[in-house]
Amino acid sequence: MSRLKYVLAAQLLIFAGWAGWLLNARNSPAQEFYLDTAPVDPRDVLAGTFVALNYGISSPGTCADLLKNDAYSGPLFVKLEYKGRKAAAGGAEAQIYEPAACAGQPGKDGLWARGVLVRGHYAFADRIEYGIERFYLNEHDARKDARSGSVLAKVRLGRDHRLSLVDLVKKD
Amino acid sequence: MSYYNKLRKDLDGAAADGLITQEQAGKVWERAYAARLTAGWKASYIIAAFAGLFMAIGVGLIVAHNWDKLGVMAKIGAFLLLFAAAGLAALQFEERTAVAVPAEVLWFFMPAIGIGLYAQIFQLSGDPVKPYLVWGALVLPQALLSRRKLTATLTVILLFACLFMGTFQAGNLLSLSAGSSYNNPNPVPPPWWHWALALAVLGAAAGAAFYRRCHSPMRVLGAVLAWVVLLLFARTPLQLSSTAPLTLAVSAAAALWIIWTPAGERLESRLPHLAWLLAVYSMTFFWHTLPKSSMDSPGGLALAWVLAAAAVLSAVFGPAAGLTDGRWKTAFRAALIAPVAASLLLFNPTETGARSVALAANFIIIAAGLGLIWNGARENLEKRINTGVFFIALIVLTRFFDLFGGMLSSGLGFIGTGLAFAGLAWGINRGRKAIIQAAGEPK
Repeated sequence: MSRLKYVLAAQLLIFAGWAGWLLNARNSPAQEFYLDTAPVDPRDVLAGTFVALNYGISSPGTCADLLKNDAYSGPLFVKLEYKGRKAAAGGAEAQIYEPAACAGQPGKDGLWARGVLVRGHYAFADRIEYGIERFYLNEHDARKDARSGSVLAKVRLGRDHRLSLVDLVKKD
Repeated sequence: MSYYNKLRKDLDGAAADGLITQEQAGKVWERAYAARLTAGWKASYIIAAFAGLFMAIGVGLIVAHNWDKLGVMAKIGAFLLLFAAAGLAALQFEERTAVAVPAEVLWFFMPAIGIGLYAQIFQLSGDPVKPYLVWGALVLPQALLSRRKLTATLTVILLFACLFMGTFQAGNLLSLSAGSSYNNPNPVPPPWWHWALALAVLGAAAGAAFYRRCHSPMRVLGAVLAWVVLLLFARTPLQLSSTAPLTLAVSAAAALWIIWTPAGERLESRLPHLAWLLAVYSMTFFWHTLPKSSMDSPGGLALAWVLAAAAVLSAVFGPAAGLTDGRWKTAFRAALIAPVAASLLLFNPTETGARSVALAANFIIIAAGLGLIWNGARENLEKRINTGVFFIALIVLTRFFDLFGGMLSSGLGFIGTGLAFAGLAWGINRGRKAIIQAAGEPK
């Protein structure tokens, strides 16, 4: 029984520590910007209500040169920059960030987001995932009916070039 | 009148008529009533486990509601408090089933609820298998140390689910499969650590099951063998495309499952025997199909041959189903080796080779059926006789639809089978009479 108490204490410490790490990551200073979303279906509600999101930056087009090598299985770093495209959302005009370059290592300048290539059943279904593909919200939140493509995702670039979702804003 | 009242009355009646003594009647009653108490305890245990499951589902759904009125710290604090309360209740009231069992089940699910909660709060998404694997890793020590076997039972199921869900799907940290062949015709082999992680999960699941004795060895062995065989079918670096090595591996795995299922379980469980029957039965259809010969992975071929060698060696030197009679032992071993040996004929991918395998498979099933009927009649095991009849009937009916075609030939085939059954019944009856006569003669 005493050994099980240590197991319980370790489990609680892991979850408390993980919460601290995530809170710290969320509160650390980082640039926040908007990404446009693209339609995606279907949505899954098993893990609570969430909106499944797909992005323009999910298309591996920018990384075509790198992916010519079939054996490449490392991470992909996509450079995101504002190219002049704007969208009205939440009563304001938001600057949309778009992919500008792709490499196996992040560049020294600019915003480089880390992603993983996920192969689809067909070549055109290949996509890059950034860990921002689900936005969880309250089951009565009006945005739960928002289709990806009708919203903008507010994201931030955190540690290790990983993107995280901050908010989901409906386009006006 | 309840069953126990009637039993009491019957036992008292039998004692009064002098059929049994009063003492025997009392002992029979005590034994039957003790079983009732055990059944009652089992029922309360199962109900308590379901109570915990429903509570865990309830907490999970409340978390899934994603209460946006609560702040982040309040949600995390409430979760940690509930987690601690569930764990402490399970430990503190260990002796009280009604409290400890629901608390233990809730404790088991708390890491999953926590992972879901943190995913919502911090908008985490990514690898679909990782959360389940983390959950399994967190509850594994609990499964090994807990006094009851409940957490171990659930943890083993969780780990095997992770293994099957992860290894045969592309795009997760356990992936050994490259996914669909429509895209990516030359898949990149999975990194070595995917193999290491998959084997670690397999080892943890099987190890926990054997160490805690929370699942029958037959089921654990079946799950392990099924995973190994699926590695040969799926698009993994061990994939086999040719019919011959696949048939060899499947028949060997089925034989291994029967041999290494403990004797006590083997008589009660039908799954390994059913797997063996299905493996050999599927071989009977090679009459119509030419075996496919294609590019096979060297690793997969090696694994198929290792399985075949292990099956033959186990059949020769391994346990023999609790059989004591030497001739029946030999028959049992031969029945397990024969399909493995027959599948070797498929390595000659010609029509003659395929038809030879089909004929051999039909013969093996009929011989096994006859053996079961004969052995069942000797041992007075009705279930075994019925299984033997089922084996033979299955082959006869399948071949009727599959092969005979015309009504005249089918009719003759059925009459022939009926006569064979009649001859068999006569032979068995004669054998039984001979045994009874021999027992009655003075020695």
